[in-house]
Amino acid sequence: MPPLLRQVLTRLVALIPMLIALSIASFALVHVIPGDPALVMLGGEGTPQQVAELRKQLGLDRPLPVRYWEWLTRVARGDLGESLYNRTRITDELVWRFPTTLALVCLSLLISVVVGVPAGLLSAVFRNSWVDHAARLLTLVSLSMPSFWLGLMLIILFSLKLNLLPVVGYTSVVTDLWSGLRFLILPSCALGTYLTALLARLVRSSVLEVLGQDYVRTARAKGLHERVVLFRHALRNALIPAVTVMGINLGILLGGSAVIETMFVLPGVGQLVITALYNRDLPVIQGLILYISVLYVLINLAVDLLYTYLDPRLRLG
Amino acid sequence: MAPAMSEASSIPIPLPPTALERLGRAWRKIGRNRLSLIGSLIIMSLVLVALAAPFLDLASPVKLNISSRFLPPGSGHWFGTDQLGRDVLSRVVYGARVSLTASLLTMLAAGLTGVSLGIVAGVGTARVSGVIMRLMDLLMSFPPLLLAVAVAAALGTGTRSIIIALSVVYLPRIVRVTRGIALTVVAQEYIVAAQALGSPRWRLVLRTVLPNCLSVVVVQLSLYFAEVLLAEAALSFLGLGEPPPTPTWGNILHDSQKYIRNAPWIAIFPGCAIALSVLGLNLFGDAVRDAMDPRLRT
Repeated sequence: MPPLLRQVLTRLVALIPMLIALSIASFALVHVIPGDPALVMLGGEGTPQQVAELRKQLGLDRPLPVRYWEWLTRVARGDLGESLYNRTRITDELVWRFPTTLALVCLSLLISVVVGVPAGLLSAVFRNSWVDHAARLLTLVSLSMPSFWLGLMLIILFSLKLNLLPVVGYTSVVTDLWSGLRFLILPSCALGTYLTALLARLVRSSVLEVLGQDYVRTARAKGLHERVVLFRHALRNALIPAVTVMGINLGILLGGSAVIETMFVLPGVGQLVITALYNRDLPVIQGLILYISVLYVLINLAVDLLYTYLDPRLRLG
Repeated sequence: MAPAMSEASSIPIPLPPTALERLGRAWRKIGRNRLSLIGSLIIMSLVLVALAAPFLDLASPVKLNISSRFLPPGSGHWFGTDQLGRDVLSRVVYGARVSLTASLLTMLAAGLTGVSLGIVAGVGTARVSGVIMRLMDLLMSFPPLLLAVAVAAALGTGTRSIIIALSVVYLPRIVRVTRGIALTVVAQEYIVAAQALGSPRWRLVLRTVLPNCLSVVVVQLSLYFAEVLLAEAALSFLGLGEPPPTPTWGNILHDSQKYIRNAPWIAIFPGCAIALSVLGLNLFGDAVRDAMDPRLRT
């Protein structure tokens, strides 16, 4: 078996206990949330008898392990259950909302790579020049602003003062890509700024480190063009840690998307989580937390493997 | 008799710098860094203003005054007034009390538990360490802000839930860092030497392992502090923190959303306060990191 394939398989097997633990944790988390879901469904009013009946109907009167097992077997078949609030099937809701969140996260990631990597590279190449100082100051400020506040400021500037972009509202990227993207520009900028700054900072320090290595001196000594040295020798090696940082911070994007979606009223998965929390909609919270954390674990695994692929030194271990 | 003893003990033995000496050296280095000075000045002035809030000549942060709604920033109200006629400056200053306290308590709670668990995982048996680290892996496998939102929702709204929620998020990160350092410290020769001299285990941990871990952990904590402050603002922005009318930076921003078209100042100032304090902490944290651990320098 080729070593890379074996590594993938080992990691996938190692994931199984983690996934079981995750499912137990998501299930348990919801059962400590105060507020009886049956009471919530009846709108807070209802005779004790009605509440008891509804509890029975929802299966809330049975022991926890039994309910966990039933829930797990349904989830394994791709059925996350129904919302207590409006009776929609959670899986359908997820399928409908996922493209929005995916588009938002991908666009933020794109912005952070397109802006952050060149900024870091420039900063390193022109170390201690005014370019470097300006980039570092901007980085520091960007790391200090809350994303949702930046979103508000962007709305004030681009939507209210300059009338360039819509304030809120949404067209799905699935039905109409271009007008959908127009609604996503401000949210993605707000969400992506933090990661952009993080990347710029990281690329700067790792390019600086790589530029001091012997192989860069060798490359220069044998008369290679500075551009080739920078892009083929320095940047390629400097980007390896950047990939890890992006992987780790996808979690920040996923969590942050909940805040940004709520603020910009975007119908994404994150907004659904927050609405479900307000409504004490147990099955939805349960299903979404499990779904998002499984996604998160898988992304991290993918990033780890990509890392091994990019850095041949890690393949031997 | 006495002179002979002093002669024997006066043979110079080069000792490695103690944790305290290193801390002192790092402290002087931090003092020389201009950016860290700016950072600490920002933090200190914010903390001072927050502490002194009741003694400053500020309007009440909660008292309604319908006749002076939506006043733009001016001489009477430097930061303007909000939808209920409350002074925004006063709300931002009083908001600092809640937001800064919540973040500080989170760092204390997560720091104390995290460092203790990390050290136990670093010096304990394989089984103890395994159990602790698998639990931490589990906590780490949730996206951070989402975990905080879920925990805060489970506990009900309020500052207390936010503190617990954010502590849960940062606990595994602190445990990992501490354990990593504790493992390298335990492998050092001076620990082996102390063991060989028959020093009891608990003494070894408290007197040698802990102080040597602390210097590195403190660096990490100062950088987490800035993140916690941002996360605290996000949670209270989502409505999970202190309920109104008590002002927090997050909940002022939440309320300001509806009025950004006509009264953008309600949104601008609390955000500046958050950004300024996070900037201060970041400047300070970076300087501490550079001074303590040259390997981490960026």
